[in-house]
Amino acid sequence: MLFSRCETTDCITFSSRFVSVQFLDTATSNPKAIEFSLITAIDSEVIFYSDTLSSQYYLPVNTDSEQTTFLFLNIDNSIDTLSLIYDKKEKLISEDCGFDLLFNNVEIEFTTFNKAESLGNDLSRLNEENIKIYH
Amino acid sequence: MKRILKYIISFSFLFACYQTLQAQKGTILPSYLMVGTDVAYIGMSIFNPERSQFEINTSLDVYKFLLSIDYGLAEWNIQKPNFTYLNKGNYYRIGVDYNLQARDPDQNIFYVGLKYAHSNFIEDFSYQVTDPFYYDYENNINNADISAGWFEANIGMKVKVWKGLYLGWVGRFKFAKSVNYPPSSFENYWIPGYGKGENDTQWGFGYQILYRIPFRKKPPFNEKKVKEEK
Repeated sequence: MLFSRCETTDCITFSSRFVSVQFLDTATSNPKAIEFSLITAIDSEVIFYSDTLSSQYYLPVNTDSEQTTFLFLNIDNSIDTLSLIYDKKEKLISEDCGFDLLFNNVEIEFTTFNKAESLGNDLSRLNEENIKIYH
Repeated sequence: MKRILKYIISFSFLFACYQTLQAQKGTILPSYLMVGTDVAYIGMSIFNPERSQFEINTSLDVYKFLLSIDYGLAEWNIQKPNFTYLNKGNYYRIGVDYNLQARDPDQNIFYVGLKYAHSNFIEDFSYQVTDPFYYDYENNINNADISAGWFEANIGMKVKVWKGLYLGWVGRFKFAKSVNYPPSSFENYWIPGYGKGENDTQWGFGYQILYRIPFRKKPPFNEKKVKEEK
């Protein structure tokens, strides 16, 4: 995420604030589309997804914190949570490019999903997924 | 007997060294101090209101070597709508140059050298974030008492332009950097005297104006003995 106007190729950054959550079938480990009434996060007043059916969700972390708890409202009105922790770094790219916020070593703090695992990687446009949830 | 022979050889060697030193004494002891500054930094300080840097360069001749000490002050204050960055500190370089043109009758200097450099500085970074998903916020990170050390291999020239006045250039290859940085979420951006903190090696160039202050007249170095075969 770059917070300033960029005019040169040097300003290209692959960092991201979005965590990629992949739902997989517990039995086959194949991607499995899961339906949610809405997905949001504690400290956010924005609904990231509503009435959605997908196997992959891109969820924004709170950039002012090193912890974000996402709330998944199921179609039966039950709620699942996924709480992530990560290291936040500020990096000044250059005077013209501005600064970048980096989120590294994403791990699961706790979750109500039966089985979930983190790849422990960084939030980056180069990483296809960060979290796997078996459903 | 062997031991006595060893003593005699050692003593002869030391005596030969002493005699050479005595003979060369006039060329070994310092004969001038050269003091100057980097004009590129002065130009940058005048034309870029966000940056100021001043550097003083000194060197003292010892035989064909130049004992060199530089000291600099630097400040960089970036003001942008969504962030500010302040870097303020000092640095020094200390080392030895070898004058490849010590026999030059015009007293021009062409040198190569190796130096150790050290910098002490602070970094202050403040930023504002407008977040469409959560909330807007501001943050400030202040890192004080940062220090860094590195080595510089350099090559340069000092050309006499008028009486004791010299103009010079120097190219520096900076390497083996180590930074003593406090635990912080902000990554070191700039090191005064070095450059960008994320670079493991760095090139630098300087353009100097210098003045030579002589202490005494130095006798010429012994000419090389060249056998001329006719």
